[in-house]
Amino acid sequence: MSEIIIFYEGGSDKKFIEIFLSEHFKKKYDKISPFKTVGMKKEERKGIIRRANDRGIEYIYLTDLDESPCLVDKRSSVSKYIGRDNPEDKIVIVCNELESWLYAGLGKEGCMKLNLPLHEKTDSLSKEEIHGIGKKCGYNSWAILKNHMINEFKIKNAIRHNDSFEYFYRKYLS
Amino acid sequence: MASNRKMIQKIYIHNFKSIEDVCIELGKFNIFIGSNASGKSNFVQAFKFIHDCFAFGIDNSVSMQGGWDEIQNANLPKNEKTVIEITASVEGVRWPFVWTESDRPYGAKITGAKYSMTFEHKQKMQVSDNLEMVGELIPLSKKKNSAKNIPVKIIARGYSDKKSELEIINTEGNKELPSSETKPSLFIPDLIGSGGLMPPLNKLIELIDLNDLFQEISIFDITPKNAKKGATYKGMLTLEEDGGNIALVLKDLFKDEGKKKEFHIYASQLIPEIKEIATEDIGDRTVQLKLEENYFEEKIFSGMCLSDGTANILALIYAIYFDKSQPKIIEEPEKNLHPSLIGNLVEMMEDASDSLQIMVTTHSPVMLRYINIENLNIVSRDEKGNTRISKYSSKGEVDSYLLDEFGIDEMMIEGVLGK
Repeated sequence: MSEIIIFYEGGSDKKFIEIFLSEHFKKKYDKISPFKTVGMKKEERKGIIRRANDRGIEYIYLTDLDESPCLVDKRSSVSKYIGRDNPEDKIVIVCNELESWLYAGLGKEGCMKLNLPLHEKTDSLSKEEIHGIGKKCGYNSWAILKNHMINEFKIKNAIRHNDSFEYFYRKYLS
Repeated sequence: MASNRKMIQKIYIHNFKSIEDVCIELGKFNIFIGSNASGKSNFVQAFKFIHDCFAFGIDNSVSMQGGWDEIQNANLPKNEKTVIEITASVEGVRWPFVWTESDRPYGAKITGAKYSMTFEHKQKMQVSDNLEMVGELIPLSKKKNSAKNIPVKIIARGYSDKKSELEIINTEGNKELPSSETKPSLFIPDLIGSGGLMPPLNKLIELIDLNDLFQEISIFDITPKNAKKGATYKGMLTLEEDGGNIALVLKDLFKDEGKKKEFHIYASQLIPEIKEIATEDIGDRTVQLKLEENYFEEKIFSGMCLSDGTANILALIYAIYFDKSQPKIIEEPEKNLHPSLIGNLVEMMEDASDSLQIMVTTHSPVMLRYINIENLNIVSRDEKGNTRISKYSSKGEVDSYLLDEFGIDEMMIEGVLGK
């Protein structure tokens, strides 16, 4: 039985990971175990990865670029949590934040339906910028907008409008 | 007048229950964590007390706290004054007040206010209050090279009797502007909007009315057992402190299809099993909750059959997103919730705090796992038994190391948080 663990940061990412991405991973893996890393201790993460390695279970560590100046810096800081002996290609860095994947997945039709402006590339949009766009378009609650975005999300749009999602898709979902 | 969104930025409390002296700055989202009997609820009661003073009058609010003896700190002398001072930001209040200098008119823009109430109990209760506003006088002349804005402090001593003289101080030069030069009867259509005469000067302080700030403070301490019971039609359409009338307020909310849909979206994020939430009349002019789950076709769970956690969540969603009051104080929202839901609940409160101020009390270490540490305030008792509240700040390497290795929840359980 093939199994994959997906570490993700939590917060806004939860529903997207647990519902949408898990659905797509099911095409390749028999079992998907999402783990929220927010609030997880360093030793807990290392322990899960150690046991995954022992049992030959695959894992990926999904993280936002956030304040890091570059990918190398971010990979280095994440390695601290997963153990330096583990391959860095397990770390997938979303540029800038996972919200930018959600926005990309709307495409032209989704943006029209939700009355949001279309962005050709969403990689550089931060969470705060997306929340701000939502507010300008009448969405006072991020929780509601996120729910609509997940419902309208289409992989083909996300590939087209976000380079880091395209990389992630080619590597893990296609 | 422009929008009047106020937020409490700081509160100073002296001689109130277990609090001898506490001064704490507040943000949009604030978590107060402390062990049992650390004084979290006494801190909340200070907000309730000032709310009640504005809503029901001082005598009633003292009585509602159990009398003066219950209010005063046991470590302080009986004649010690009790002081509650609240500093609030006031966004966008443009005050159609005019001060003229050499026939040049100025309007005032207020950006902040500090309100203090002092209670002194001798033979009779004596209360004095002051309102101090900060802002600037803005030249109204449209001529080029007109005068600069003047930073000012406007003080109304004896705010609540609304008879006080205003003292206007130029904070740049720290000099008082002569009140004789204020011309309150000028007509300023662009500031008043549709036009109208200026109100008398002593009425102007009503324009920065703090009643709405203090009367709108709402405290929620949801009791699921009460929330599951039916609610009678004879009641307010605002959520009660214990959530006991949730069925009634939802019945009213669900008349609006859009709001009903929104409520379901929030509920599904915490309880994905929920298919439909509704209310039903059960006779005797009583309404109760009913709920359908995705698991069963046509099986409806009503009222007391709901789990305590579900009832708590439904009341919390209403309190967080649909109750119009603010600031909101929510006591131990994690009650009856599975630990995995607590993270989602924190996320919801953070989401809502983008547009309103939320304060949460808790003693749940699980909640600490999910919060932004900058929002954390630690409540504890000092060696004399007085409550102290301090913002969590990482004190260099030792704390950072503990945080990294053990997590903030373990630090709380072990009692080393903020030590």
